[in-house]
Amino acid sequence: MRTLRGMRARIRAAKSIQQITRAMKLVSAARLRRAQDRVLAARPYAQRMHDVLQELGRAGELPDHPLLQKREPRTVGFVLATSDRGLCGSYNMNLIRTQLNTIRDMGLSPQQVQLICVGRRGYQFFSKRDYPIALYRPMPTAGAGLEDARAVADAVQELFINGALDRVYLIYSQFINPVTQRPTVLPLLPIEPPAGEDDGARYDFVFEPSAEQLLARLLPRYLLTEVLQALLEASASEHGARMTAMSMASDNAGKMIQELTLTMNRLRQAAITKEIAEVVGGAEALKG
Amino acid sequence: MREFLLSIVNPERTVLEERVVHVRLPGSEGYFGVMAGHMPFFAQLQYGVGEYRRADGVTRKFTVLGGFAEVLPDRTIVLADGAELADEIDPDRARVALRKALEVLSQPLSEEELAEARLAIERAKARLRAIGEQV
Repeated sequence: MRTLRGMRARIRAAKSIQQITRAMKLVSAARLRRAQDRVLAARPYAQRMHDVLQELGRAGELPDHPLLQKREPRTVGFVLATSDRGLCGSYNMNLIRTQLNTIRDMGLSPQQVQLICVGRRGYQFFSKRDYPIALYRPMPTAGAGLEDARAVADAVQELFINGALDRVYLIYSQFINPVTQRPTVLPLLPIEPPAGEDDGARYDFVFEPSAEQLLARLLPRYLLTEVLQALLEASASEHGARMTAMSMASDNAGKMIQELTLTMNRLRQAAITKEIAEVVGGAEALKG
Repeated sequence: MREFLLSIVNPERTVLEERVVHVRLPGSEGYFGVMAGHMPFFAQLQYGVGEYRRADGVTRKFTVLGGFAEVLPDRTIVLADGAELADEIDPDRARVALRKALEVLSQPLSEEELAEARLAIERAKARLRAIGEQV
């Protein structure tokens, strides 16, 4: 039976949950703003890097480089960027589902896959299911930075060059706006000059130093840029998802408090009415 | 003189995007100058000071801390590992950084530490030169 005291306890619980979710929403909003600034500021460099490689690719055959080498994909690596913490709605589950679907669509068995997990959620899911994990790094709550990107890019580069991985993809959440994140699968290695729109321009470049030497510097830099951009996008997406989730949780708690208060008031009213009826009934009986 | 687009970006942000008539950049084989209509050119950059001139005659300096430059007839794109405009440089910080790096260099160092200290010195020198100091 619902008692008045029980109702009060439930309202109190809902209120303290609402306080927590509200606080988390504010924290996420602050972190989102910072992460968003960083990802937006970093996009031009990544975009320019794309353009440059595209123009170089169109200019003619690129000289040989280990990072350009196309091989039959026997083992495929995936860099999966998730978050360390939960309470961000379906953010991590969407990424994990994208990862699983990608593996399935490529017709790969778990043994043909190597995962490079940034973020504990993805790591926990796949290590429990016995997928080979080549590298695991936590996703910093303050946002991923150059150092994280460098660790991942270096590891991936080494695995690719020594032949442990024949192909590598990035799976991360692209930051569209605070309430929209889009799980994205991006081919990372071997590096293929992006096709993009062909504006018809063909340049006959002069290189300084030689094209080989330049490429040996440019391609690792390109790889690093792609990884960094993905991690920055992932950080901003995570905070956006958490802010949205916490905002909805606060709203739901508010609704629950309203409903519970209404029910409690009805209960109290009923109790008072009953008491009055008893008193009046008693008085009537004495008069009689 | 004809203008072309100069765009300087580093991994963190866009440093500059402006119409200019001339730019000078520290290439790996030495400084080179670019004007509109330059032949397609792709260069690795080293630490140094770049300078651009606008059509109205205003010239400004900036640091380049390595990276690449793509020169096309109608635009030049500087993909710098690090870059900043001269007005953004804090002279005191650069001087302190230079002094510290020189101090570090006087101690026994591992190969890696040595390379790092040398880079720090180059970085600080590029910054100080960009604001017109002799180092």
